[in-house]
Amino acid sequence: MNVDFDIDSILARYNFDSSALIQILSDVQDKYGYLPREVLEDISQKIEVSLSKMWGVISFYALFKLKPPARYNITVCQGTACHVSGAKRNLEYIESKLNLKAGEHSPDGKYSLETVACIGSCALAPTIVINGKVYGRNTVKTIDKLLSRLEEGERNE
Amino acid sequence: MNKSNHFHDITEEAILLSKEKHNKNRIIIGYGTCGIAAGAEEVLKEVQQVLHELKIDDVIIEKTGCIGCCSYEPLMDIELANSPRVSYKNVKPKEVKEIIDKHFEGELKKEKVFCMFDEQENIIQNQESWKYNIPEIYSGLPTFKSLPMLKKQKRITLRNVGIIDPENINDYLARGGYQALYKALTALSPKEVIDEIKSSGLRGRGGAGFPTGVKWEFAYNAELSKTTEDSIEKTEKYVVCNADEGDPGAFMDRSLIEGDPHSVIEGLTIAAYAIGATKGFIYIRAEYPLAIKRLEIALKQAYENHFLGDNIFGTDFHFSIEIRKGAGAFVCGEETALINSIMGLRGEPRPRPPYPAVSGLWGKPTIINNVKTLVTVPVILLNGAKWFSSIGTEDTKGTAVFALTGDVKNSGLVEVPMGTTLREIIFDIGGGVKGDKQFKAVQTGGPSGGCIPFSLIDTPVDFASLKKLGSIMGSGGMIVCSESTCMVDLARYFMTFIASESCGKCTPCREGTVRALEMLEKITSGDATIDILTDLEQLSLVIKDTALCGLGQTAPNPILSTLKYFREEYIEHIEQKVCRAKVCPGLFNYVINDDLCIKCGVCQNVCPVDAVFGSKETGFFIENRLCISCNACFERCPKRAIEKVN
Repeated sequence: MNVDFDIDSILARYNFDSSALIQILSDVQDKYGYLPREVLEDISQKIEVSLSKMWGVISFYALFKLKPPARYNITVCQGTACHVSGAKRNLEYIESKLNLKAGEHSPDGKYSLETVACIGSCALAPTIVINGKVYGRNTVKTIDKLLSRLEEGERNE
Repeated sequence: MNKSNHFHDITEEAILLSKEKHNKNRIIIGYGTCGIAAGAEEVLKEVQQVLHELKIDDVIIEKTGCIGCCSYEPLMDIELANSPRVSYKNVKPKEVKEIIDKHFEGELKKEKVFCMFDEQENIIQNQESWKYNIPEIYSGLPTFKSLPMLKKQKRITLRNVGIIDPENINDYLARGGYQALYKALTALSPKEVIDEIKSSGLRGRGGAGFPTGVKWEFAYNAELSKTTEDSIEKTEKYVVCNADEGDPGAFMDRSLIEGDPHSVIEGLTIAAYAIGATKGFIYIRAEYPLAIKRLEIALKQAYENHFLGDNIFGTDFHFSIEIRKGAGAFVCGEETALINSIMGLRGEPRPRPPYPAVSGLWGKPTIINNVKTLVTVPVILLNGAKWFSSIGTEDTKGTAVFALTGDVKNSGLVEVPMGTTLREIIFDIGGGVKGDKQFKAVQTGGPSGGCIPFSLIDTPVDFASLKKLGSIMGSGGMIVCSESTCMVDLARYFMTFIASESCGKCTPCREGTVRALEMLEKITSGDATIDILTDLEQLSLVIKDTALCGLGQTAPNPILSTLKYFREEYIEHIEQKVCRAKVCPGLFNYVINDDLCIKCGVCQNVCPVDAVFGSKETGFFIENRLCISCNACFERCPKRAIEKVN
């Protein structure tokens, strides 16, 4: 992966202020899809926060990722409303369909499967987010449709 | 003086523009996260396409926030010039053309009509409510306020959500926006603002219910105590809006920000003026991208109109707001953890006192208020403390906002006067349980709350009553559980959540919640003996008494409340190895009813773990030992021939 090392524009947004570390990291992640080590080293020097301290912050927050994202990132919401409407069953179904556990990437880099505590679209429970788009009221049937659409999209490209 | 004239001018212009809107044809689409997930984006595209096809070009397309009737999303409203706004429900893209075509021809596709707005009410006194003329063809349509879902609601906090275009500051101004800030800054002293809020009886809507005015007073006085003769320099102070709505099952704050972002800004600015802060932060979950985007737009507009920045309304009050995004940590909703997170650190809590009002961000006095609290503030200043305190109960004034979800017919946003009973909320407003299922419990307060059984359904909602039952008001998640929810599994679910969200700083929470989860997992998999209940109860009480912060102290509530009200379900799991709700894998079986089965083989095709054996000739059977209870066969069977049995 070719990483563009110019992150000064992001840092400048926050005046190189170390208290904005979480904002900086999330902007970096928006840009690259994850937090590349080289970029972290660069930030560490420029805002004078040690890498170990940054690691402490990164590992604390669930949204930060140290691996490049898969092509399709499937996030199954595990909020309460989703849970009582079958989110766990849906997750297990997707896990067995894709042969992936939550938190894993498929070896071909095509899928990553994640859970999230709640995306706040509870009235449409159970919800699934694929690459940022929210799909509501899921059943095995809609999941089959979603997954085959992803497969199809892949073939068409 | 110039600046205040300027304010009157732009307000008047905004009112004019908003009135003119009613002289034009408009199509309004519910464009909150829920609406978009339900398909609003596709509906919007179709609307644009259809208008182009029908060569209708004098239509304004507007996006609004979530009006709170989420089960009916996507909602598409049409308002023809000088006619009422008619709302169409569950609109599919393929239906758009017919609906628009008919509506513009003066006909209504009645079966798709959700309701009609006969007025655009304004809760703020001295502000005009817009009344629509109702032509003949509209008569007989249910009005928005007469819908069973709305009848018992009183919308103060949600006053603008779903009504205004959240990306248009004029819409907010036209409905009394920034009037309260103007009043505070030009006519009231900070102390008077605090007194007004104090006497209104407003309590923090984030869950704990601490009196807002008292909290502000602490921070206000923090300055006085430090002003000695040598230091005339004012202590720096901060105000923070807590929009880290981490409770799974809650989305009130998201909807509020998505639908009415300026009211949050106005409330926060008033708070800053009251305590003497010049800098504010809105701490918001990164999981809410749309809310963040709308806030950014609103902030920009507020700066452009000089409602933020230097010398607001020509006074010597300066204030600026910065958005700080969270990064996915539930504990950051706890105020001391939130403070650390804003400063770019790990979001770990610390013991209180000192309270943030005395020592918060960078050691300075800081007040942290929930979104709903802040949104309520402007109305109190405009309508008066007396007006506000006349609503609600002795214990808790005003209204409560809930996100009603789960197995309920009308899921969505609900705002009712405090003291409304759970029964009224769930059955009158929510329409009762979905399908023909039986009501079992209602869960309030998220992972810090508890489950309330049917026998206590007539409990009024206020801080004290819910606490007495072992639940809490919380920030407003209300999840209705039917007979198909297993209460032990629900307790296990919350403990899974807490165990993974525990920050790890204190032992009772870090270790205790994991041990409690292990016990619950034993019970739900049928591997426990009866004495586990005593251990579980004891452990829960220890965590409650000894954990460092609110997250840990309230974490055992889901266990304790289900043990209290649904103990028999625990005992069934342990002694009879039965899950009556048929949720816990292994404690029930899937069986094919041969009388209904048509041997189509769908179950075998969809089973992801090949637990269905047989063929189209011989019929099928399910080997439950291989089954992972994903429910795929049950859901996909065209004849509903698959049954769950104990």
